[in-house]
Amino acid sequence: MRNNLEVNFEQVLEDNKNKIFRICSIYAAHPLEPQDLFQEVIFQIWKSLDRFKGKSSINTWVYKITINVCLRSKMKLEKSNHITDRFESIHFTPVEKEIDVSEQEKFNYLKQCIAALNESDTSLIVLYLDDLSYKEIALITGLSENHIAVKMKRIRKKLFECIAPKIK
Amino acid sequence: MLEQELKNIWNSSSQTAHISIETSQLLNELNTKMTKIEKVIRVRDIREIAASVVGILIFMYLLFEIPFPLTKIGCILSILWFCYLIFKLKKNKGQKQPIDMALSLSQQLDTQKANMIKEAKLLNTVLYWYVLPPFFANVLFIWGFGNPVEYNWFPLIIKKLSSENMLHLLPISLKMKFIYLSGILLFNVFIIWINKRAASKDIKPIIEKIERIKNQFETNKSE
Repeated sequence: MRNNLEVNFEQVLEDNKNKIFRICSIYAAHPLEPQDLFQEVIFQIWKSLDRFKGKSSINTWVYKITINVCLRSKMKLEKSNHITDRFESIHFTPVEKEIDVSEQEKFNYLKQCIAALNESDTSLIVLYLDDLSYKEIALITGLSENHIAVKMKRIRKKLFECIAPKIK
Repeated sequence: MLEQELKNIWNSSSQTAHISIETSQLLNELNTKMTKIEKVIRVRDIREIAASVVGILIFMYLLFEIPFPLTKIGCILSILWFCYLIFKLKKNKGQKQPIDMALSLSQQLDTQKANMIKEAKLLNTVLYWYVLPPFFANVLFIWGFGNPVEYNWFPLIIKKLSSENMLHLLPISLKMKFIYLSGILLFNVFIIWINKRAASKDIKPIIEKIERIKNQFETNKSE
């Protein structure tokens, strides 16, 4: 049973680590860094994995945990300092290949524009940018698909207005 | 077009850093972290109960040692209050809904809000469950404290105070009783103030923040 859990956990990490980190990098705010949030998400996934009932896909479930952990950090609900104790088993190394500076710049613009959104819009847009369907976003947020569709229309417009002049 | 471009920018952001995880070491670290958190919770629980147990033992000793009837009643009430305190703290912990990170965002916010409201209620009502009962017991304890000489009661501490001519420092005279009671009253006012302050400075802003986010989710208006 434990072995099975470890295999699943490893697979879940491998499949989701990049998207978890992307979301964490949007929510991280001083004194927390994306790495701190990332490992808190990993901790919560590990803690909750045996309660995963398979009602939704594992990816949707991982998104739920990621967004909940990130939003909790934003609300400063964690009083303890456990969240900033770094794990030595997780390494973040810069990719050696040449990084496209303009791509990096564009991502920074995107981050700036997302930062200008409110908390709920931020949660929705990061899920949307990760190419999740409205149905999946509805499962993660607990809102109806229709409600999300209406909200997304407005959020997209706001985001486009912010970023279009910058990336032209 | 712009939409797809944004998704591409978003997805390419993770190509700038490589995340490698040593799973077996990570599992050890996760277990260690879990043990550490459980230990902190266990120590906090023990500390809370230990303080009440110490209080119960002290007042049990005083109950059998002190001869003054009213003071004895004060001791019994104090013991009962310490027992109630253990029950109250345990009950309050049991009432809090556990944090399930796999809930939907909306459910998570509702759970958080309910827990915070319970916490705020507990802090705002300290007057009724934390201050008034022991204050009443303290009043009886001090008011009933009589003159040891009249009761021929001379335990070691009273003998020592008597030999050093310090018996007048005990709440025997009316003046000393008022001084003691005023001190206790001031201390209790401080307890109420510090709890109310925690409720309004720490808990209220979080409840407001949760409500604001909930409201953002439920409405379609932009801020």
